[in-house]
Amino acid sequence: MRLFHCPVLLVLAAALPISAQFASSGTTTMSVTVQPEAAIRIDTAVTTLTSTGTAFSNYTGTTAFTYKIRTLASGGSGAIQLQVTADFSPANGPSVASPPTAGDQLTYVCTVSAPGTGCTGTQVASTTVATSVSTFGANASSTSNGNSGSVSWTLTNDPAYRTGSYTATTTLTISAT
Amino acid sequence: MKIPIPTMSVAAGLACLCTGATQTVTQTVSASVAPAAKISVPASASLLYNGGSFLDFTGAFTLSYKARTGTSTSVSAGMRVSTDFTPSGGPSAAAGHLTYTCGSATLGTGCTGATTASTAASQTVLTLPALACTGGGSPCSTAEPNTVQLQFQLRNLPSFATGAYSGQLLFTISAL
Repeated sequence: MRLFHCPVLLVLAAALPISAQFASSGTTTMSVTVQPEAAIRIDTAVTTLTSTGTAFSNYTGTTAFTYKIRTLASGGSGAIQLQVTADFSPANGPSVASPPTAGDQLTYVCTVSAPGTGCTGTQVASTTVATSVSTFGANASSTSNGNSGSVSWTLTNDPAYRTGSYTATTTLTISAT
Repeated sequence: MKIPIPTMSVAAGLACLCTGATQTVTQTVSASVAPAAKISVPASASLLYNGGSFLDFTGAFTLSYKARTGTSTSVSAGMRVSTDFTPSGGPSAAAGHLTYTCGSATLGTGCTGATTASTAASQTVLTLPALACTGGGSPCSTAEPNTVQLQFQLRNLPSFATGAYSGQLLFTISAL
């Protein structure tokens, strides 16, 4: 969008010597177009998954986020989606794409404040496809400071995992039309 | 505003048609140069979208002016939001969504700091001192016309309904 900024200003400046009308008063019509828009901020920079309680209980943790959204009044929609953009590393631990044991999963449930609608039930995170966190309908708008949401994770605690520390990256993407 | 028009009065003697003689005649020319000031603003200006993170809309344009002020009076140019943004459901100057700042003026002084535009009262965007004049160089300005750039910033709130909005700014220059 910034590409349009400079040309507009140049046109105004170039037109002044020709079209300027000097008087004791003048009127400028100021216009703006408000478009669908969305933004998201991850409030939990690093989510640590921990296993508590009985042996081999699953690892759990929560990632909080804040979103802002504005959708078209008619026919508009929006979404927040999640994808594992970097699988756990180093090797020999948990893995979303290639777990050591079939059935090992990184799953999540969603909590999203209105106007968002959180995902239904338990979702399975993927490295290959984006999965739903929230959806928005037409004419949706958040507050000026943004609305809250969170993703609560569960990672299988497989005895096959070699001990150590493992890290993965997930990416949340918000969109609006 | 009624602007005084400079007047000129001429008292001229008749030309002498005599030959072989020289005669000197005297004519008096006087002009009353009155203070005057006028402004010019573009008919329209757009505020631009700055990215998908609800950054404020921004825009700028140049206020041009020509002035000749008197010995003891300063002159100011003001701006008021004469028509708030329409349709409803979007930004509103009355709600304090529009602010502006002034760049350097080539004659006089532009406003300082960020000011919230008003629908109720005209706010000073430019002040010209006494004995200021446009064009021609010293003691007047070199620039002609003189200019001051106005930068505008409009809040981009999620609550604004999508669509196109427009409002009007009225600029006036005070009576001399």
